[in-house]
Amino acid sequence: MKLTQEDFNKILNTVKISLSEEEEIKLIKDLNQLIEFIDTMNEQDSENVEPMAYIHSIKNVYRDDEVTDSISGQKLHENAPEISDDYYVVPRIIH
Amino acid sequence: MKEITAMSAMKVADKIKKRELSVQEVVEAQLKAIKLREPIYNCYITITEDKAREDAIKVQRRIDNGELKDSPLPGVPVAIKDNICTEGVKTTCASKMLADYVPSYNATVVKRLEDAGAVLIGKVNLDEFAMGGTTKTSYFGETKNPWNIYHTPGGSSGGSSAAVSAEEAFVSLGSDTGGSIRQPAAYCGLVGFKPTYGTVSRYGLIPLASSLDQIGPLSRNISDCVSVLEVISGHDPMDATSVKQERFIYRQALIDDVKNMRIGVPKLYLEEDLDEDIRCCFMEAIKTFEEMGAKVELFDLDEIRYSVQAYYIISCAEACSNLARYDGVRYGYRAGDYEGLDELYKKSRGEGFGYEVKRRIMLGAYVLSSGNYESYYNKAGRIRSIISKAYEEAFNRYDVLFSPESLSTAPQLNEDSSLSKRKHHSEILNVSVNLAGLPAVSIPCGRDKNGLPIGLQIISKKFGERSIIQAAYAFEKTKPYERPQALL
Repeated sequence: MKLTQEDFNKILNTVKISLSEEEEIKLIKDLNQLIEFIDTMNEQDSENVEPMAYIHSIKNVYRDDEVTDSISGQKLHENAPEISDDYYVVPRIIH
Repeated sequence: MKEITAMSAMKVADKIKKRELSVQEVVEAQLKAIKLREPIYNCYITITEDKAREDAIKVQRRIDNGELKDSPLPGVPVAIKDNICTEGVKTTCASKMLADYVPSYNATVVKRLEDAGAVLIGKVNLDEFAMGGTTKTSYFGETKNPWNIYHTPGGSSGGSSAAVSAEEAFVSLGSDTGGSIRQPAAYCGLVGFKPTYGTVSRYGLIPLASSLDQIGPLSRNISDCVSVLEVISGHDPMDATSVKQERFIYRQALIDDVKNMRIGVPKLYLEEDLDEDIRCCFMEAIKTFEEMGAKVELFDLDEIRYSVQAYYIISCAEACSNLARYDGVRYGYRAGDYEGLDELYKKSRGEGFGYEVKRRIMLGAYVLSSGNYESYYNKAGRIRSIISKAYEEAFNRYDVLFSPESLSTAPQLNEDSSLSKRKHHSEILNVSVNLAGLPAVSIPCGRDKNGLPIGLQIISKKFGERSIIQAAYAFEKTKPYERPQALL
């Protein structure tokens, strides 16, 4: 199914990535080629088969509700683009 | 220097244990080789020179105290793919997005290697966020194949394979989501092992596709590989997808005997557009196994026909989700110029990610969008079920399955993939293994007419590593490791 410009823009807005004009032209073409390719999988019948996401039978792995060591906030802040006291600085959201 | 760095990991570990070599001597020799060859091959993103020298002293002390007498890797310099977190050492995923990121914790596999006395010598190159098959998408430049510098070492673990092949490390860790350990191992004449999903902890592996990713070793022979596997594998409470087994012992499988081993060859793989040299080498390898007493049989495994399509859908969907965390807020690249939060996200991600990453994120979002989720993501999940079951049934009749590891030998670096007659190089041979979570290895089985290495893939059932190791060990006796001839 071919991607319309509108579909493309919707997805782009979901993934929050800016593109140059060049990238956009190339990407629509590449995606349509890829979609054409993956569409061929419909030749395989898969009725009455459950989708699989994980190969083992383990489910719901729990641990005891105990406090253990963790990485200090200060250490984590060292990678932050912008920090003020203990807060990550972001543009104002609520006006 | 060359005498030391050309040794296998097992040999150098043995010499260190016997006090014939000190850890410091080995580390110095390794650093010297790196300095000499790095300008040519560009395997490393970060060389941990100071840390390696400090660690060498600490490890030597531990050896002298008798602490490491049971370790198979004391003092062995290892290279780690740069999508695996190393505390205090930059971990970039070969991306502008994480170019300055320094993790505050070690991946479990790194901790286990260091506990065993291995010495981290550096972080090696990869395709950006492990998305690719050539290492060309790296933000830090391409890596060259030590067998021929005009050719790629493969990917995404191209730095891991080139470093070991160029003797800039004794062993390395890579990660495999759709062949990213096995294919570069094949292109560089190495052993590359992808373990059963859940065998090796993914804690600290910056995720691409969480249900497909596995960390594994690249080495010059199967014994080195087995030693690394034993050290890094085993249950980890920090990884809920890791299986409950505390330890995996593989070295008992290093047996030179394949009599009556049942080997299956899926016909589908031989119908692919294989290079003539690869087909020849593969058939010769089969003959060798038959001469050693194994039983080889071609059979139908048509269920894997759509594995590449299913793989793209699942891996891109999971990647889209996994890469949503890179938002320029808590870590990673933040754009310099933006107005408002939305633009912060869009510009940081737009400027921080390379094209291939964007392409896969977009496809992932497309297949997960409402209206498409059922017909794409769930459909791929069903095909995955079918593939998994088909392999399970095959392993009722066979101990291992064989295939060529790739359709061609290492492509040229300047090859325009859009003009290539093959749309997808080795994915068809590799990705179904990840979809089914199976273990598989690539081992060297010959060279093409231009001297480039060719790999043989051996696949087994879940937790069937021992059969693979046994087959690989017996075969290696007939085809011992060959050093790249062009190596300085």
